[in-house]
Amino acid sequence: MRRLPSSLRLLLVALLTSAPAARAQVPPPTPPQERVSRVLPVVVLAFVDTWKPSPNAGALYQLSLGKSRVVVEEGIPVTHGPTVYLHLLAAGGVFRDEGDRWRPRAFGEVGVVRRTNRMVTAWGAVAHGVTDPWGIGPAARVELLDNLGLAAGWTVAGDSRSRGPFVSVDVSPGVIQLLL
Amino acid sequence: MPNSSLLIPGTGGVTLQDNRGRDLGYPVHMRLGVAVDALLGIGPERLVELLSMEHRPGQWAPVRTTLVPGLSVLPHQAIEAAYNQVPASFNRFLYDWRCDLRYSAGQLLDFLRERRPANGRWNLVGHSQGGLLIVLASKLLPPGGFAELVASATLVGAPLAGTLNAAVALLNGDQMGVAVSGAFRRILRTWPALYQMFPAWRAVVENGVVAPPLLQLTSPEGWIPHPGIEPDFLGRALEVRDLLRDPLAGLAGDVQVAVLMARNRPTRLFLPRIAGALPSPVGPILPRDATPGDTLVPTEETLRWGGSALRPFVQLFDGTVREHSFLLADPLVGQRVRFLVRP
Repeated sequence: MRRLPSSLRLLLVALLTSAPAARAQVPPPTPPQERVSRVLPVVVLAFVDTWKPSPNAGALYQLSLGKSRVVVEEGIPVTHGPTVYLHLLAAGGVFRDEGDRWRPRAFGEVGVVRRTNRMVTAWGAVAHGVTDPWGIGPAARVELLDNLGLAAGWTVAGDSRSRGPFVSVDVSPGVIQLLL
Repeated sequence: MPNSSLLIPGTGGVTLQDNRGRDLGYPVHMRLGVAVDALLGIGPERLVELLSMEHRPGQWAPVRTTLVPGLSVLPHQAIEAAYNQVPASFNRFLYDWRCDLRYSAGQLLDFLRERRPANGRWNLVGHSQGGLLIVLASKLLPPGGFAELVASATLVGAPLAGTLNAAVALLNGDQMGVAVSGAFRRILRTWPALYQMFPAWRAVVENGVVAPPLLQLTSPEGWIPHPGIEPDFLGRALEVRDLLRDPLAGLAGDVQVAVLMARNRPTRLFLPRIAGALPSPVGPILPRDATPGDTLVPTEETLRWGGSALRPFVQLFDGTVREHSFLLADPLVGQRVRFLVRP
């Protein structure tokens, strides 16, 4: 019986051992247990003791206070997300002073929100602040559909021109896109 | 050059415009316009003409994207409110989500080839129908072909086993409000994509028992007496269902695959026939007809459809994650998607 030439034998071995697997997809890495954050650019309308809106542009940043939890069920990782988040919002814009002149102003919020699985996607308590004339105070905050935020409260300390009721509305660019 | 990333939005996730560059106003302005028209006594017939499509049997591409003479309807921009946790650095694939899924998948493949990053590949993130387009595009190439273009494929809320919501949409037609639901039923029944997302499982029940095949959603008899259900589209539904079997087969090779699903909300599993017919409109989900999912994708049915080949690639979410349409506005899901990108 003739032996195969060594070169052909080598080729056969190479072919047989290198035949690609029919399915060689790469599975995803194991999901980490980690703190969760989100950043969202926003346009803010703030009403500081006046019905005249102060338009601002900025961003919100939320960071979970706890980590997500991953449990493996029948070989499949199931992630349960954290529900309580630190909330920060910073924006800059303008407002109309008593002389009806537009002046620059900065606006901010810091607080805590809790996420839900309803249309009101988060609710919580924040401290809001404005500059020049400055003022700070507490507010309640709710978020709708992860695209719109509403805060209402009272400016309790600061310049007398800022003290009083406070309302702000922040919307994502996505909402503005839908409305325009 | 590093890999590039591409978001493929889901059904309704891209606004529409006409060939004159006018945005059709879907969905918000259109809904407002419909309400105003109703107040003014203007009927919805112009809407039927504008949004209905025409197809020829055996042809994936539409013959007409609108019935208005001299006009065509094109994709415009992604609805960013639904994708606000997908970085702006991700490209957006804009497509007409009403079309035959195979036609849209072909367009996706063309996009991937024509705009392939130099010395890099694509990271694909497909939401809902967008995930199905990734699967179908992968099956349009010979084995291993998709891996030459794609480094990772992340399917988010993809209805791999279909969704009953597609059939309910054809029965209810209330996307623009109840007042024009009759007109919208006529419109939606001209969109092949909806038929092609019909459930792969026997979803129609009668008197508490699964109805026979003749009365299921891909059978013309199952739709009697509802008008406008195209037998050609029912056939397209079966053809796409066959292509979606073994959904990851076309993603063989060096492609990281992740199938992300939520299971924290009731999702339709069964659709009862009432008085010998499918109801129209369909009422709210009853507990006996529901199963855990994301309100559109039923988790267990999808896992069953994908079988053992799918499970190693699945990651589930529970708790407070958003419902189907807003999965990619959810911070947890958005963070996971960004984590899965291959640089």
